[in-house]
Amino acid sequence: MIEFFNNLFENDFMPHGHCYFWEPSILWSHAISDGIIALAYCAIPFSLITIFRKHHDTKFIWMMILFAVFIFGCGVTHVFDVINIWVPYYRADSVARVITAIASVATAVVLIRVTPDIMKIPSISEWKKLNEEMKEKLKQLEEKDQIIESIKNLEGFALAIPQIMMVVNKNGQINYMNEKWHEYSNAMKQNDLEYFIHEFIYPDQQILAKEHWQTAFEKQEKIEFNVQLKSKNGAYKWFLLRGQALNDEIGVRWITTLTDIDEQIIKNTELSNKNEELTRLNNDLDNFVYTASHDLRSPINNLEGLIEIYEDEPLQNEKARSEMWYLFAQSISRLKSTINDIADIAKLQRSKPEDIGMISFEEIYQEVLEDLHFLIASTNSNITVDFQQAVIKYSNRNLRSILFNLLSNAIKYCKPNQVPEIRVSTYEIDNKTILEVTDEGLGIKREHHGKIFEMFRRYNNKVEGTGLGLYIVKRILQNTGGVVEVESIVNNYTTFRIIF
Amino acid sequence: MAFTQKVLLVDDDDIANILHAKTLKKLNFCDEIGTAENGEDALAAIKGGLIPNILFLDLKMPNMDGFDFLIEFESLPETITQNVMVFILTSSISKTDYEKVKQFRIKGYLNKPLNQQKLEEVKKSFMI
Repeated sequence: MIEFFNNLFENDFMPHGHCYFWEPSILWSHAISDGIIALAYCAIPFSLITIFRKHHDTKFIWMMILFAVFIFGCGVTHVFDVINIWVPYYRADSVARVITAIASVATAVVLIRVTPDIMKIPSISEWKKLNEEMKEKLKQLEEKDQIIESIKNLEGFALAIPQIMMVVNKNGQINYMNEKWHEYSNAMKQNDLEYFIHEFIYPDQQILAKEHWQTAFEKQEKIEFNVQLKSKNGAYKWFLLRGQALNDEIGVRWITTLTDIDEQIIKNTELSNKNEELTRLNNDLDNFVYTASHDLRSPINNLEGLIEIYEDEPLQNEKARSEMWYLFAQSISRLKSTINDIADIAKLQRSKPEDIGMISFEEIYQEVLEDLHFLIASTNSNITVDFQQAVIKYSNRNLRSILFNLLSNAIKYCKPNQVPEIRVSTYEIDNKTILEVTDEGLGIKREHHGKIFEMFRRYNNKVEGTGLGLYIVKRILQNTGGVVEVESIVNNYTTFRIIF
Repeated sequence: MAFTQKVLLVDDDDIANILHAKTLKKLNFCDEIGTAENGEDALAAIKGGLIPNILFLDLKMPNMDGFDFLIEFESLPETITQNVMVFILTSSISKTDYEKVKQFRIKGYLNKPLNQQKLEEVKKSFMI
């Protein structure tokens, strides 16, 4: 064996040229063609190495290496073919051939094994087509992402805004409602506008709401109105419904928002009530100043006139003198009672919440009887009482004022020369306490029923009074949210009914 | 001789009526004096044939006030109304009342109480 390797490059054989008899045409054609083949074979492995370097495809690495060896071996054998013509290195040639043979077999085996994988590698045109398809898909995916992002953003807005949102199409279908709807109503998302109106809009406003939508559908224009919507606890709250008509390739639809304006409406109502109250108070005040000055001026004018007469003509007899004194007294008493009533009204404006407590009708009635003692005694009034409702939560002073005024009126407006018959009663209806004072006196004409509660209004000048009593009663009840009613037939009876 | 014949005092304030009547008598303003407690009474008196030459009218009265009286009065036949000169005689110093009453056919507007000076004004208004 060692001898074999030692003799590897011994040229103890005959050169191959002898076989060609050194015939130059054969010899050179072999030498040149084998040389060219050898060069070609030896170039191939470099290409393979370059390809392999670029595509690190490990799957085919062994095949590539074996192929490179095999091809290189082929090249080497051709080199020997050229050399052997002149120098017979047959042994070395044999070694090269054996190695090449082994590489060729190995290459063949590996190639057979990887053939199915190689088959899977697409062609260049297929590659191009695939590539384009991939690019197209990628673009679509990017667009889809943008659309999804827009949708998510819009959903975010729909969630973030405090309004209820819905989209209504021209057929009266609701295509969309945001989460706020569920939060407010606890109800499912609605599909049908008519059903929505019927179920959730305040009954009195349903017809109007339908008309609004009908007009919007016909004219394809925006819609805006206030409406009360039922909340999850069944209470209705005010909303501003505002719909913008949108007309595009999808069709006509109304992008609609419902904004909670309940607090605003309530505050506005309170404000306008307060305004009304202020206007009324202002009118009252004007009226008060005017009438008070008038009512104070009259008795003073009279006193002035009386004094003048007294100075001018000394009174001759006792009768004239007592008549004069009577007129003086009358003027002064009118002045006094006007001042008292004005003081009462001033007190009325300053009623405090701490005055309110549980009070007994019987107790107040007894106090009033004491106040009216003289009037009752002088008229022999017959008063019957029936307090079915014994107590009430009210201001002591106000209840006293109400009962005093009603009772003194009932006595004062009796029929001439008749004993006043008066009935005072309390009872309860619909959780409301009612106080009634009925007399069988002169009665009040129907056309005066509204006016008797005005300031300084009097409908009988046979009776002493300043015209403030019923005004005071009405004001007390207005301040406490109650009502005073009158029912009367002339020369028959009068009933004043207080609903607290 | 008195300035005029018949005067009707329309006022719910009976003391004022007494005082005004005394003043009229003292100054020999008229021969006859009638009184009415309110517009309704005055209207009834006029319709009943008591046609005064001069009528002193208060504005604030129960039942029918001065304004309501003037509405009713002006709807009466002219044969009656042209003979009655209406003077407002009131304690009211309200401008609204004054403006309101100016719409009616009145001869003059006086504030209470009635005295010599005011009656001179009344007389003068007839001389123009």
